[in-house]
Amino acid sequence: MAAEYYRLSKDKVAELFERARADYDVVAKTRDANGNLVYGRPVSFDDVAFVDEQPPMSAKAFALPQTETLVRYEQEGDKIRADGSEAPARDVLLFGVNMCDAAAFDIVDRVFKWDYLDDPYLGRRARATQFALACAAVQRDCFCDRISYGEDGVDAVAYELEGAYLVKVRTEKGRALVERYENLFAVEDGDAERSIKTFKEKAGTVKKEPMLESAKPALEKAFEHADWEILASTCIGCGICTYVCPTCHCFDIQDEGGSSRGRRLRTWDHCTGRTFTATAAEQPRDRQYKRYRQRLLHKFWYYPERFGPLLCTGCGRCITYCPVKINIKELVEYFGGLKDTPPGGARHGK
Amino acid sequence: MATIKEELQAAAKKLFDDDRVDYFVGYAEDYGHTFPAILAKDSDLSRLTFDRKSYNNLANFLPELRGFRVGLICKQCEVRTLNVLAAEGQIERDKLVVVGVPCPAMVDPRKLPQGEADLAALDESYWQEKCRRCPERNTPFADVFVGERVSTPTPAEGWPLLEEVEAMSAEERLAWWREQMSLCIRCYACRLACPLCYCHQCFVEDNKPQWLDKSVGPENNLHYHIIRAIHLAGRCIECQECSRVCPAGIPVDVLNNVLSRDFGERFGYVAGETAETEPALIQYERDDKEDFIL
Amino acid sequence: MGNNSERLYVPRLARVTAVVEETPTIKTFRLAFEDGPRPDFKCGQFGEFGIFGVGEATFCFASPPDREYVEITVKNVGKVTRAFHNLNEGDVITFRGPYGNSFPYDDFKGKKLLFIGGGIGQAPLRGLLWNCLENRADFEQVDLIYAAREECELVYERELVEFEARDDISVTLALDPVCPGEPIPGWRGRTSFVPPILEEERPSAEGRVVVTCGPPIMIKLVAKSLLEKLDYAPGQVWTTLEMKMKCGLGKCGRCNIGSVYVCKDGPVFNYEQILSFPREF
Repeated sequence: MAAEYYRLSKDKVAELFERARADYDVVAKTRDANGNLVYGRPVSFDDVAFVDEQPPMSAKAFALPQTETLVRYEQEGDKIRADGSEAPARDVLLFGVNMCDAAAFDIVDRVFKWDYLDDPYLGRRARATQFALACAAVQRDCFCDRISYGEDGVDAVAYELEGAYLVKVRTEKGRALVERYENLFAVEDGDAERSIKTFKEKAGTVKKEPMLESAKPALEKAFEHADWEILASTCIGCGICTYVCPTCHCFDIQDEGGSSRGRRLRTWDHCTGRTFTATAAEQPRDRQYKRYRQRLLHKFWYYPERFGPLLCTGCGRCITYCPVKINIKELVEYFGGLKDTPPGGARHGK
Repeated sequence: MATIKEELQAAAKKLFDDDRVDYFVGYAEDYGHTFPAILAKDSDLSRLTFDRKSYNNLANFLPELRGFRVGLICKQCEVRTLNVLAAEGQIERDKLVVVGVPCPAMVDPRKLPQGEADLAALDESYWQEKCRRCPERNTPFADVFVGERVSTPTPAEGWPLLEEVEAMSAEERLAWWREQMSLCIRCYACRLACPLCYCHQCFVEDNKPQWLDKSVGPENNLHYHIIRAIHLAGRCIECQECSRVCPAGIPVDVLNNVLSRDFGERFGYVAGETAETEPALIQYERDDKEDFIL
Repeated sequence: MGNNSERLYVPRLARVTAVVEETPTIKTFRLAFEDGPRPDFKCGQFGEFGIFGVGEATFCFASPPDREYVEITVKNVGKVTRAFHNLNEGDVITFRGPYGNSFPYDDFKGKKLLFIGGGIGQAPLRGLLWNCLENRADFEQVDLIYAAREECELVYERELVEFEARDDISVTLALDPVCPGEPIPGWRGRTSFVPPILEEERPSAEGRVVVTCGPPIMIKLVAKSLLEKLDYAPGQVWTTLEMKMKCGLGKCGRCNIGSVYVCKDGPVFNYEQILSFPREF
């Protein structure tokens, strides 16, 4: 679908939120008990933070919840009944989601559609519409300007101008959103792409070379590089980077309950964890640096090799919240031949 | 006059030149952050630093360097940790070179001002809670001391957050815990950033039997935190790494503080106080207060 | 594809109809599907078999595809396999699959087949082996070398005896040496690791296909022997790899070796492919 452009004046945003609540399960940024910005379900616009600030957790849980039931089972006499989980009851509107979060869905969709259709994930995706809010300034550690994605897979994106938002619609779902509340949106008649370009220049989010996709050829030769051990051994193997990340999707399947009643569930898991590939017999990634290497290469080599895009939108949360501040962008640049020195200085001399 | 960075870099270089260590563990600064770095003999040492963002407890990296001779920068926090590790038979002290520094107190990352700020000028209202209680800012028991010693302010008394939580009624407290535990995402960063959680296979990883369900929810989450706190009873040295690393900002160390305080008040015991401090749970005195039994 | 095209993770149910104790730690389970025809699989494929309340685990099909039943052989090593070992006839288990690729059976026709199994690694080979014997005219030669650490670890003992009695397959059984140079009392087979047997017998590479499965170290040493000492081309040596798996169908991100997903691109691979993988298994 060709892009369409609309204008939403700032004083209409609250009304859009209130009216949308009647038709959608609206997810928007709000504050949690500890004051963190979080994607939640505020009931009043007073509790909505319609800002470009990046919440610590991405919006990924709305397609892939941290814990979800795949199968409910119950013994009935000498038979066992097994049922799948329920599809979402309402359409969901992700209201004011960051671009790095919104664009992630299209990237992750590819693996969940690969030959086998993952119905729990795809069922949620089919019911979700994104109304993203573009960043007017870079976030703390982000590097979206070094990754090639744009607005293409996102339903609608709002760019803040003077007194109004310029809304770029890219999909049928985005258009359906605008049409539903059409008296709030005016068709944009100016040079919309120029306004967007000016916005991005001011924000500092214009794409810059070298793009990180270009690291792949060197990464393909870097598996045995001598510096992985000394650079990645400070990784503590927690799940923070994986869980805050909008594109990480690795999961575990576990049973909970007894033999006669319970559920088989899916939970987030992290490849940086020690037990991820450990079995009773073997442990192919027996050192922590090998586990970190897996995460980096999966995102910047293996995933693009199979599916096209990088498994990363450059949000930078993995750097911000990492307990040891490992910087995936710097490491990709180093192992990917885009930079001579690794983060923290050369470890094995010149 | 040399800055602390220059002195540290020189000290690290000397340790390598004198062949006293195979690796040096310190903090490096790059891309706007201060972070732990493992350095080798021919590494570029020019990014070594020590500042008010040198949060990480560097003793946490010792298992990865087992068998090697390691020089590491130690705050009071690291030294207390090493004392506990030594008492538990986990380190070879003669393979370590403790590099002491005058600690300026760490700034609480959640209170870090936005943008550029002169961290050195920030007063104690910005510090991490543990730093206010610190009895000695110049690393004790150091093998090498770098920099000018500084004076230590009188340590603050009490545990503000702990006292706040204990002042709640039982219902309020339960509600507070449920609210906090509903934010926990079971990333296990608290456990993995803790240098005293060094079990190769943690109880959370056991599956024969499986002690902990993998599903994430307030009950399971609290279950995990309580058991971890009990495993650290009498051992935690209050470095606050667990609460610093929590991405949800949960003050998980409140549980550890309760137990540390109890050990202090009941038994006059401070974990890792000196190199001679024995593990709490393998010793007793005849006059230990057991007033909870009868 | 899969088991339930609408609900990907909802399993089928199967009933245990027979349990054979192969060794003190290994059992073979025969399964019957009552809710419909049994899964239509090819040799080399696997399924996610489970017990509600315990979990799922990956097992390859250990029986040939033309039987009415399905058999899996399970070694008791962990939480799920221990629960399998507590199963009795009549118990119900869950199944998702068949997943993965299969041995290129048609490409093996007309060739001399050398099967090399190690311990429980014989299980994925068994279906293919029976398939070949039942269509013996399609193959020029069929040889089996089957090795284990100790005699009590050999599986399918009753079938091995049958194979030894046949004249259309040669069988070499081997146990790991306990004391170098000394035979094991009462043992009818060879006392040797597999590579020395290969280097002594020198099976020629011409027109031959090797299919091997066992502990990773065995696969690597056998391949090394064949490729470096006996002039085999890597494409002639086939194996099936085992990695920790959860979904079994390419989504959970656990079983990859580099950009290769063992559950989708494998588990059957030849050594030409394996030599191109990052060294991570």
